[in-house]
Amino acid sequence: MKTVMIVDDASTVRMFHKMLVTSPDRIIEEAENGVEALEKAIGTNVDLFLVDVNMPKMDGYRLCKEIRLNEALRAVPIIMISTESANQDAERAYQCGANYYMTKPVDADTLKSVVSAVIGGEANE
Amino acid sequence: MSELLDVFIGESRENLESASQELLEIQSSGPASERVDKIFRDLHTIKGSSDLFDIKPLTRLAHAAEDLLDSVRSNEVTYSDDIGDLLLEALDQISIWFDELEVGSQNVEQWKPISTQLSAQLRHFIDPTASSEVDESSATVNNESPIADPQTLSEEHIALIVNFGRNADLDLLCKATGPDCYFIQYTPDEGCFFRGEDPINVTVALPGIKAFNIEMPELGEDADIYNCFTSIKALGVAGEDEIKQHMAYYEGQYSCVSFSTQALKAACTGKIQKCVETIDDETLNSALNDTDIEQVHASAGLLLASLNFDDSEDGSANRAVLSLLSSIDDLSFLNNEIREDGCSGKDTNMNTSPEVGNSSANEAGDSKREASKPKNLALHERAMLTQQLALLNSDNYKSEFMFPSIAGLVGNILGAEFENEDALAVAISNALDEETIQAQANDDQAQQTSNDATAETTQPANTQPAKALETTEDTAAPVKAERQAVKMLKVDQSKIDYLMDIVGELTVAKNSLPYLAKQAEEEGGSRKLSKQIKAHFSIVNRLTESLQSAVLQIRMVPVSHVFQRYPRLVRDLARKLDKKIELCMQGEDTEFDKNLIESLSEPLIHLLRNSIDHGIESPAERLAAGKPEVGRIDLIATPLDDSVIIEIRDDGKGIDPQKIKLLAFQKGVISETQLENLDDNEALQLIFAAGFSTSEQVSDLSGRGVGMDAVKTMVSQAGGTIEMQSEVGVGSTFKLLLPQTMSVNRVMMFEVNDQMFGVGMDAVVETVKVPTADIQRIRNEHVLVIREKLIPLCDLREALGFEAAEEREEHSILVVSTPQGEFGLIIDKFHEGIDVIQKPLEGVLAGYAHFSGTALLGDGRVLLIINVQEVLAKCL
Amino acid sequence: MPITYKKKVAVMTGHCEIEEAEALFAWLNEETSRQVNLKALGSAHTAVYQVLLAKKPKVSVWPEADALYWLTEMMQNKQSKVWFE
Repeated sequence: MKTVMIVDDASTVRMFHKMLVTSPDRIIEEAENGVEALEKAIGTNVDLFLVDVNMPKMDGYRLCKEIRLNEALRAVPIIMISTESANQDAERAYQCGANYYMTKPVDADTLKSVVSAVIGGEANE
Repeated sequence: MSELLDVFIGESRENLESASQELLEIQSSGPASERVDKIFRDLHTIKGSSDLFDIKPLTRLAHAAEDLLDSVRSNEVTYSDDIGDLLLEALDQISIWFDELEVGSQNVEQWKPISTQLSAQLRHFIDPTASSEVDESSATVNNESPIADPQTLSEEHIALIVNFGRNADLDLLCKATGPDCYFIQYTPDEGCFFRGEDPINVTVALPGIKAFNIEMPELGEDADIYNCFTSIKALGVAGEDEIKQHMAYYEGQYSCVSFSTQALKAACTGKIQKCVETIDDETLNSALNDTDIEQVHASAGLLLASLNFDDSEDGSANRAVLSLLSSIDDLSFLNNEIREDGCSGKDTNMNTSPEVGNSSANEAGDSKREASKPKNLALHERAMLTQQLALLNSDNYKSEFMFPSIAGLVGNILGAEFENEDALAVAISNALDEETIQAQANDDQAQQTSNDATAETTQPANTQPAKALETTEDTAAPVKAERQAVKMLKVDQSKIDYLMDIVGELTVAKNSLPYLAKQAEEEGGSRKLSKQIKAHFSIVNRLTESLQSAVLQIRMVPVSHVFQRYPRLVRDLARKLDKKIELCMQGEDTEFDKNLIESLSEPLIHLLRNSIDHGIESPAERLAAGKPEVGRIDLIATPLDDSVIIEIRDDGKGIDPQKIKLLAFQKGVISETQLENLDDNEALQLIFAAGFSTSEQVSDLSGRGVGMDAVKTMVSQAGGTIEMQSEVGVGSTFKLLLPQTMSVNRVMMFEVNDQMFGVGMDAVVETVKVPTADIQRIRNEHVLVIREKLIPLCDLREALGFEAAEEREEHSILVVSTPQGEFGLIIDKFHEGIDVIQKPLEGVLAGYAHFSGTALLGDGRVLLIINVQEVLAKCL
Repeated sequence: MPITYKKKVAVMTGHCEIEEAEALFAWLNEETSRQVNLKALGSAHTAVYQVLLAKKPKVSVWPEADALYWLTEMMQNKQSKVWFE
């Protein structure tokens, strides 16, 4: 079983992304912001983070940094999904430790494929 | 899907509610920044979520409101009641739309004009001079900015292109000679001729133009031929900037959509695949599967010539596809799309699944295997792999933090495990196109050589941790596909520590060899043997020193390891205190022994906290003092021989010597005479005195209200020194000088109360044994006269807290030299001098100022090395 | 003169400016059988092209100039759209 953690402050978006990547051999975890994400992730086995940028309490950039600083979570790939499309925003994401950067609105097929590429398995239709 | 919609509506209604509430509050009590921020976030969420459902008018309206609020919260636009009213109107409108969405009675077409108008009104507040964004005359085309995500072409854009021509997408792709494409709709004003404009010629001259369409209505005989009746559409291959420049004079009469050739390729893929399936020619299919470009060209060309194409949609599409295939140079975007069984988009590459299971068993052979097997990658996999390689090659790459996730991600895509960056990079390069990697490597190479050039001039010794012992000029060791000569090893820290310990013991152990040599000569009577031992000792000595040095180098770590925590610390503390402070760091590459680096961090944190707490003033005070509102703290690390100078400088209010003197007097640290006589400089140094603290309340930020005396102790424990300079109103500077490595020290051993201690040899002047009678008492102190010098004495037994010894006839005295002069330490017994590697105190012992470190003796005993200054301070 | 009006053919030469448009338009309107000779035409103002494209008169000689390939395509094939090679 692979675990994907979806971090976004909008429940609609979380639900949407969850719909796209869900499958019988995956567990989908959700968090509203960076703080919650860390709380939930530490101590569990997360295989992929899907992280939004703009969130209260702790934004996506900071969450990335925290994940990389944390020995237990360091090896987990992070895909950042953001509304911002400028080059600097992607740059910043990479400097904070993200592995990949996608802009919203995310193409459904692309997200499915990307997640499958990272953790294996196929999403349900 | 409707479940999602329900969630969306539910969540968005909450956002609307909250936004309206805040708006009402603002209207009554003013635009507080938290409120504006809250509304901004609410609208941002609504905008983002609505985008998922493709309800453009709603998204557009939310976007306009969001932008307006953004301008308000960044103070570019001043809030006014008019703005508030308009925002409320927008919120109400959105709410109405939600009602419709909920029952399914929405008519999105009707929403468009409302959305357009309200959006324009909202945006007008942002920029009253800007003309309306939507060009009403071109009803079908939006003035979109270039597509954010270069991977996809939006439905609208595809529609535009297909509108131009049934297979315009394929035809354009055929001719796409560059990375950017455009579609222009150009509708000149009727009266443009009178302005001297010549639209058709402008169109024909468009950069990279590949096709255009001129609409001309029927003209009656009495038509005024000096009016312009044409309406033009054009497709071409050029960048957006070029087009904008070309069409500069005609703004307002045209709209342009830019998109990437990549996106076009992706958009055409489906059509191409469908047509190829329909055509169903074996040669063509196998040529595509093998990615054999020449074969594809050949068979497509043949089919083009031999088949009959009717004018139906399919027929013309087939012809267009074949035409494309017969000339296209790059087929990579089609990879994996053409399958005999017709399933598209999925990467059913047989190599992946079995790999994933077996990968753990194949560690050593992996990098080799990857090198020989080119894998067919989907578009997104290529993009991700390319990105991982870029991350590996970036200047900011930090192995410790990034390697695990990159290796894991790539491992899942390629189905292998990777030991190090090298194997990883090679594998990625092999999986991707060779050309792209070459280009990127060349760019990075060019950049790296210039980086190296600057790095060389500032840092003398600059090796990264966990790097195999090589002396390459390549200091930052970026990973390149071609440069396989640079090998990196990931090593467990504890192994290095263990290695260090052994080296330390070896250093001590070798020291007995000269003694043994002497024994061999004196007692064994063998001069020859003695000479041989001495000779070999010389070799062993040299080797040991090299080994020591090498291992120490492995443990060197850039100070950025500790420094990187500080910006966040500074930000958080500053924010808590409502101060604005900027931390500027320099010299983060300066290296430090890994074990010593933590001992460096503590004093630094305290100094930083002090600066933030007491040094930098509040923004208001700073402005009143004519300083910039944002305070500045500089943290600079500079290597100096085998030490490092760390400077913490702030531009705060400085330390007032008068205040210090007064407080010191009050606390009894100085006498009244001193109060009068100490000059400013001496007064400032008082802050380092024991038991001194100027902060009246224990600020919860500085924790225990740590005073500078504690900081000084920490620094001297680490074997360093600290200096301070300050000017009232200008700021303070602290300079720490710390040894960079745990170097070998020559230490003199001695015994007190049956315990072994050491003292740094460079402090020792001489050792004397004197009869007790010679020790004199002057007032409360014991002194000794040596060669007419008066040497104050310090009984180490007492100083170290042992019981007094019995009466003795003579005393052993270690005379040491300090900046304050010479002193004598009364000890029990002398022992020999030895070379040791001094370790700083850890754990419980760290609090004892008397000791500056420990060393491991060859027999496993621990030697405590005394800190002369501290001990004397306690004594006298 | 950029446009020389013969009995049944208007011969267009070199560059035809906007001023030529009105006369050409009127001339073509008078008789539908009138033709244009574009052999030596180099370029023209949009207004002139407008006339040619709107009226689509018979062409006695097509332009030699490569740059006017599109004009030939449009007039000859009654197309409003042209693709370049």
